[in-house]
Amino acid sequence: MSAYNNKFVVPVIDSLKNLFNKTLSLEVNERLPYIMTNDDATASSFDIISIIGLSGEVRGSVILGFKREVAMKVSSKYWQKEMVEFDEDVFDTVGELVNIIAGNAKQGIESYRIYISLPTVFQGSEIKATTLSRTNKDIPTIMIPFTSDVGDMHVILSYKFET
Amino acid sequence: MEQANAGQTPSLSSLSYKNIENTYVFNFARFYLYLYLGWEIFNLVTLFLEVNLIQLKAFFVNIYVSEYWIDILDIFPNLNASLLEQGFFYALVGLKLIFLLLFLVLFVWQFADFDFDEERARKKKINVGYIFSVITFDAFSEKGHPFFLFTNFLVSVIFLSLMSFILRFSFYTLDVGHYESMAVLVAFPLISNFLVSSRRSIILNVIIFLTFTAVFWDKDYLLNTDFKTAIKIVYAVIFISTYFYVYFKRINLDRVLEKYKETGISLMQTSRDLSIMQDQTQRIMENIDDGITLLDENFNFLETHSRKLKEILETEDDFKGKNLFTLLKKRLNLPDKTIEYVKRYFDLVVRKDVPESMIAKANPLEKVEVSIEVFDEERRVSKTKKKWLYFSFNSIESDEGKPQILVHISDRTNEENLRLRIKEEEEKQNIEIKMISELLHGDPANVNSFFNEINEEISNFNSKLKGSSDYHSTLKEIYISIHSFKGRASVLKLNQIVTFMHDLEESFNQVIYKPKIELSDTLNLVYLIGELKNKIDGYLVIGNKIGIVKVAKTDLSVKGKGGAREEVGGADSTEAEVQTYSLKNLNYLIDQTIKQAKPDHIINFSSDVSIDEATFVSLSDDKKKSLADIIIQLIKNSFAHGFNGANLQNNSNPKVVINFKKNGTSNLFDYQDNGGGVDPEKIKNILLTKKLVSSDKVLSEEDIANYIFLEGVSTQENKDIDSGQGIGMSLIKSKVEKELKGKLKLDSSPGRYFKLSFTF
Repeated sequence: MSAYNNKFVVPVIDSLKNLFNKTLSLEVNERLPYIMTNDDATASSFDIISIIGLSGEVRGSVILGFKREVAMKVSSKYWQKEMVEFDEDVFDTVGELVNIIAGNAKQGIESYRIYISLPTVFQGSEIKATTLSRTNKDIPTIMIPFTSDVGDMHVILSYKFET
Repeated sequence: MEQANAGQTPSLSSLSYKNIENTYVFNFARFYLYLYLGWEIFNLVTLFLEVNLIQLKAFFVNIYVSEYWIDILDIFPNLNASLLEQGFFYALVGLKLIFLLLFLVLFVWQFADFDFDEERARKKKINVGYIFSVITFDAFSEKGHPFFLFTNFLVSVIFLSLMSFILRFSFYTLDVGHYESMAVLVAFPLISNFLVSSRRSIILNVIIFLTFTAVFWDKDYLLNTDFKTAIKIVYAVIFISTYFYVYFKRINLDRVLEKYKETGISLMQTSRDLSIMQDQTQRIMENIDDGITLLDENFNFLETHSRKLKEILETEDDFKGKNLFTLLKKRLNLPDKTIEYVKRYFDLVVRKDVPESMIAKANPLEKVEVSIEVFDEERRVSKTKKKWLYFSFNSIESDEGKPQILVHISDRTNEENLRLRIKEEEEKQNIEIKMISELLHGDPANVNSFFNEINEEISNFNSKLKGSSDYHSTLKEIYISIHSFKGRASVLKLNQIVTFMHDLEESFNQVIYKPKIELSDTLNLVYLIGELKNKIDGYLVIGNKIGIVKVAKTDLSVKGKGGAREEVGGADSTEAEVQTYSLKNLNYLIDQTIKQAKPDHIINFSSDVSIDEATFVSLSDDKKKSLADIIIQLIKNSFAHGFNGANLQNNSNPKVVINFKKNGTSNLFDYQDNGGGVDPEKIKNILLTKKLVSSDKVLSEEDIANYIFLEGVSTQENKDIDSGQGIGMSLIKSKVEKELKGKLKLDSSPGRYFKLSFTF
């Protein structure tokens, strides 16, 4: 049917929910996913995103995007202490989160050989991760919003299976 | 076959006389010959010295020189001599003893270390026999360096010291006619020289003969006459026999060759010719652009293979002894089934009664795509390389009569990839041509508005998905919208979009009626929407190029009033956009829909379309659009249900009447066909199958009116691309109620008519 399949999306979502719900004791729920288009003016923007690259039999990237406050609150949960500054500790944490998610998701589909890169963290304002699909037009970028007590966060997935 | 033979030992008969002369063993023999000659020269020199010494001695000491002075002086120096003389003699004897010792060591070492296999000897590098051989051979060969003549002489001296010592000492003590023995000793190497007979050795013999004659001719007092004569005779005989030998050398050569054959020494393997051939084979194997190798009868790799083979198989490991099937499975990851075919195929390959062309045809690996794991430096799999390999197998027979298989692998990945790319491009072009023809086929204004609207609608899908928490209703909304666009696409004959949207509908259909919609379900749908977007984008790009579709960035309603004409740019496009919502366009749409929906066997169909232009023009663009969608859907319904099967047989004059006019402050829309109407029984049955009503319920007309607007209720048994999804009526209902804010009224009489009207 489709060149894309959700074999990798489901492990990513499971991995994220597992991480937040169990490890961080932070209840997160997914919302309806949607396709990100290049000219989508209403696309969600973030203050901090962390990107992890996928290579091997799955190529693409997994991105985790937060607003500033959400990132800080999640980091506080992660370190079990109050983070007061939006500093490198928070950036590291966000990078670590995407690393854990991608790493565990990789375990979820062991039949595929996947290599994950080191996470890269971008911090700024109004960051939109929409340009991903520009380089590879046939890979759509899907946004999966998650809601939680501390605020919304997004997983942005853009990948394809190497056939 | 040629190449296969190159690796084998050439038969003895193929060796020329020249080759025999050049073999290693003959070099070895010749070495000893030169050794002896060296000794003879040395003896002459020492003899000359000794003779002069005696004369000196006689001059100084005036003693009688006995008949046996040479022997006495050689072994036992005269004790009466002066210190100088004694020292001289001792030095001579000491020199000879040192030579002797050196020779003994070298002699033993040489035989202990001598290797008949030239290749092996070369590898050992410090094999004395080999070194000597190289020295002597090179000294007299065309390429020989003069230096080796000298070293050759020095080496010869050592050997001959021993011979001289043993013979002279033994014959002296036994006191027999050792001069004759000496003659034999002199003759011995010359005989071996004669065996190795060549033009060079004849010349050598002549030189030796002349030298000896010249040196001893006038010195009768120094040597016994018998000895002199013996030497002369021996040399004369050798000279003559060498002459005859050369004359009949072919006969002798054959005998020599026969001898080698009998003894079975594989000396011929070391021939230079072979090594030249090996060099050539080696060069071919290293430079040929294909993978070539031989398999033994158990399909294991033999040693010889082209360098490219390793490159093709992406490995550094040695192949020798490895099994082909293991390689096919482990390295090329071919499925077991294919390998099984190859095994069976090899049974065919080794058969002699099957023609080669037939064998080639049956080859299961003639053209095969393989995936090879390529390792990085840390021996981790870094990626899988896809390659297109062409195999061919030929059966050949080894010397021992066992079958061998010549394997030829060529890497055609680049060609195949290019071919695939060309094919892909062609497909892409075909699609584009189809797109262009589809775009040109439809009415430009309608096509333009369709793409602009669907483009916007897809963005709307996103906003709907983003804000929603109710999966069912959101997805349903999208579903209905897709259906309506599908209808329009079908009117415009945008077949590729229709097909895609139809599949998309199917996918939606499978999801939205589930009691609980999982995230993974929605992901698929979202991906498909993404694909739809890509498709539409493709049409937009091409449509834009050929000037049919102008992507509108401005709001549609503004455009409709002509406010943004210049901004959109170009006279053609503005014209198209003005027309988008004109009555003319609507009429065109209606005509097209009828044309498309009407089956060919309905001939006397008529339609009565009466739309009040002023009323239509006064509507907003959105409402015009909705009205158009409703009309399209109704006409489709009439043909799909009203004028279908038995309904058509009772109807000689199928007709639809469309009426739109102002009715006081509101607008009134009427649609009527004289088809089969709505069959309450059918509806009831469907509702029963879907378990929406209980079987004892009596359905009133109102109930029917309500139920046919339900999604998923269709009286059509078979779904096709135009109808049967059960979405048409619910689409109409939602358009009327939500977009036009109107009120629906349904009137139907089974077998007579279907009427739908609404005011807004």
